[in-house]
Amino acid sequence: MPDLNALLPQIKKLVVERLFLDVPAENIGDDDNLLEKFGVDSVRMFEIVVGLEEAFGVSFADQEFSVDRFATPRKIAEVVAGKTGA
Amino acid sequence: MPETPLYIPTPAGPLFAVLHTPDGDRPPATAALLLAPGGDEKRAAHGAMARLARTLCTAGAAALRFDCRGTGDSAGEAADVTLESMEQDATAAADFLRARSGGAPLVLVGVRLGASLALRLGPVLGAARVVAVAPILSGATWLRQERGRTALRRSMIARELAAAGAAPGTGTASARTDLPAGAEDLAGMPIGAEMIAGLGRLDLLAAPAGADAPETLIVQVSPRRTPLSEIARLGEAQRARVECLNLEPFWQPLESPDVGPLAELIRPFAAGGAS
Repeated sequence: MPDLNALLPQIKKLVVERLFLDVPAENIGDDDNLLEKFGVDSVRMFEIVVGLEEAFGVSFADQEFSVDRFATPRKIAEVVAGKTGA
Repeated sequence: MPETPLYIPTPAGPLFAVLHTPDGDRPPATAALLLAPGGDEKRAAHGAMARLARTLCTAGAAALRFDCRGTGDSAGEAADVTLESMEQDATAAADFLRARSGGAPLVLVGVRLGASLALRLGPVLGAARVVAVAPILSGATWLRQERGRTALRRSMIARELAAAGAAPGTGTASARTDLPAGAEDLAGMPIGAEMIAGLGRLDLLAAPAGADAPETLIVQVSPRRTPLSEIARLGEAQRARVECLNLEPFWQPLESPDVGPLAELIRPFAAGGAS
């Protein structure tokens, strides 16, 4: 079973860094919708995906790039866990 | 500082360019050729490239930025652009700049795909120095990510259209159907089959620098304070200095990314200083 609890803080830190957000990473909820709470658009979401590829050494096929897949920290963590077997 | 819009004649048609020259009558200390990103990234980086040119000019450089054929105000179609045509255009632009710089040392300043070309062309053009900002190491990876970015964009538009009650497939959520055979629409920019094939072969890590490599500065643009392993390997292969800058990716269509720190990092290197 992937350890999402270990991944989630890393994901939130990455989101804050990549989006240059002025909020502490720990203030982001696991299920916060990044689009609705932080106004993330496709450009910003792409930055998150590129950041995931760099940070976790994973890669995504183009059909895996969908808004819903990366909408919340938990969803992102699940995607990363599925790639890394974390 | 004067900025002169002009056209560079080439066998493939005129290339639009802007020549930035230092104030006064003194000859330029260096001849800085700016190589822009490719595809949709070029549009987003336009303002940043102008800012970089102006900053280099304040250090005494004559700086030239130009549109490769098939882009901007130059002749040609976007779907006909290839890596080879970009290199030919960069060579023509370098010749043009040299002829107007009184023999000043040539410095290539490239961003993204332009950085990849700068690393390849530096020795060929006899450049004294190369600055490679966020170079694309693997064309195949860049293509995959650009396809993903395009899919993400369509996904976002489809989501918004659905929220507005539009029928599936409505509007710009759909892929373009007016492209030549083998071409793709990458984030709104057509890219041809030959370019796709060329990018598939682009692998900077497979081509270490030769003995004639120019002095090179590689700039990683990322929140990371240390180079990614691939960037570190590229730095070793190119015998380059590597710097890390925590900047927003100004080649993405963001509101107003600040490239001031990048300009200040590049300026002394391009001018021939040690830092």
